[in-house]
Amino acid sequence: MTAGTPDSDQMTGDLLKLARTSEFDVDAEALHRYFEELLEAATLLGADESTTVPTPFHPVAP
Amino acid sequence: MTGSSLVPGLTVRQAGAAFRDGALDPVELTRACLDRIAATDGVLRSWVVVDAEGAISQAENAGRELRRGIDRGPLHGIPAAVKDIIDVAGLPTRCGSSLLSEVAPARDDAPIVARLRAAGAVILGKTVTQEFAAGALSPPARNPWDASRIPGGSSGGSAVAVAVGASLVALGSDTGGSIRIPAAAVGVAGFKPAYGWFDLQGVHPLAPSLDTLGPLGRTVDDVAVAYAVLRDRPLASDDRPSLAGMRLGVPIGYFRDRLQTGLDTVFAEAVRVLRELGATAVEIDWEEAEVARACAFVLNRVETARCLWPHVAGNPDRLGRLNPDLRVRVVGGRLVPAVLYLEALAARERLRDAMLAYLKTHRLAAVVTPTLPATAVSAADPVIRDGDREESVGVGYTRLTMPFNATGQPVLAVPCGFAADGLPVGLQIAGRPGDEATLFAVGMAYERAAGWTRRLPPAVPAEG
Repeated sequence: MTAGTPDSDQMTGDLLKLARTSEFDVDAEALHRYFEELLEAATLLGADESTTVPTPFHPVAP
Repeated sequence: MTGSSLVPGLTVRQAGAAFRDGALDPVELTRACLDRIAATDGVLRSWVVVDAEGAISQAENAGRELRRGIDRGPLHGIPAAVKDIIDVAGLPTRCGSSLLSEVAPARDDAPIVARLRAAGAVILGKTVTQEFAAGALSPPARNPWDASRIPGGSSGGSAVAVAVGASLVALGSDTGGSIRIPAAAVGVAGFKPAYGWFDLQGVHPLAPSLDTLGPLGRTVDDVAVAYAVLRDRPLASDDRPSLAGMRLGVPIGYFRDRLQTGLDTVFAEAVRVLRELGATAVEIDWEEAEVARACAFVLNRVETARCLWPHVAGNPDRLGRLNPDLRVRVVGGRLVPAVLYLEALAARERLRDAMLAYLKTHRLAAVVTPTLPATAVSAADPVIRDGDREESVGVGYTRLTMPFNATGQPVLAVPCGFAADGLPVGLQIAGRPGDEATLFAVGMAYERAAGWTRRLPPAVPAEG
């Protein structure tokens, strides 16, 4: 997923919809840029296959 | 030594030696700094509160103590400035925000300020920060080399204060580069310690898992002395250290791409000087730098929203009083998927280990890179422009600094020359937590060989 692809556009759109439901009114274009930048960062983090997410549910040894 | 001709140019060690042999009195030095503030701050606007009366009183006390043989160490009687997100007892901490314009004075010193005071430093006042330390412009402060330019941020006021001799040392904070960016933009030294070295109590948080406090000074040695005192560590010798046999990593790719025209030549010349000093500079890419920046970026954005939310919760009018960039960050940051934040946390653990492995594998004492991809931009039009290329300051200025906030390493920022536009250029030296001495040794050796800190900004800055 990279910024500008259908997936990222969908996600940015969803986040913008969410933002509109908040009580706060902020500049939509600036918010769009904010989410695009965030998704670029997300892509970089997710693109690295060696990233391991620590699970908080390690099995407890008997 | 008399009057305001003392500063700028006087180092912490020189002032301390002059106090002890009776050639200078702390009151005289404090008055010289207050004179520098009066002479420059109409244009540079880098101070939010100057406690002249309190400073003179502290300096009188410092002088009395020295005459009685009470010596609190290398910062005894030395004027110091404090970024306005850090509590100083009796002064308000307004964080550069209209939301805190009516805040009551802090009751207590933050621990780092208490440490400065206990060491005999003279607290002059509070310096300008970008609102809540989030950003690189630091309005209304201006750059002493060209007052139409920004000083960088968010510790812009602290950097300007030491650059013009309005203070000998200053405290700043660094969450994404906020000590190193203004240090590079105004041509002074600054040190971002390893994450977790200083107590953050009494400091307004921005992103607590990244926030770091550290000193700025006109020279590397000033910064090294302040850091040693703040950490209660022995003072390193100021003899010129040898770099013979030391291996320094010089990452290519990410850290050298997209530099303003001419900056790569300035940086290459600095690397040549390091080689001449005996270091082996090895060009090796750090392939995860961009991922490290992304990691710090996500952590920063989410934690900023959490930290600033209490100031605006349930009150759209108060949100409207934040600057537009922060407004977006507060609202947007609360909508970031939690899983992305968790991924960033996990990536940080891996990146910290990977950086230590990188240093070990290549037998590197430290890594040296440019600090900023561009010199200080215009305050009226704060955009990085180079030929056809345009980049926002927020993205561009943190591109080379933020990766090291993810790894949590100590990083020293050092001036390394001037660009064709006449503005300062800086390099950063990143090393291992616990091995700060190596960074100061490299910085000090380079600084003395290159001699850039002998060049001072105009005594009285012209209107921008």
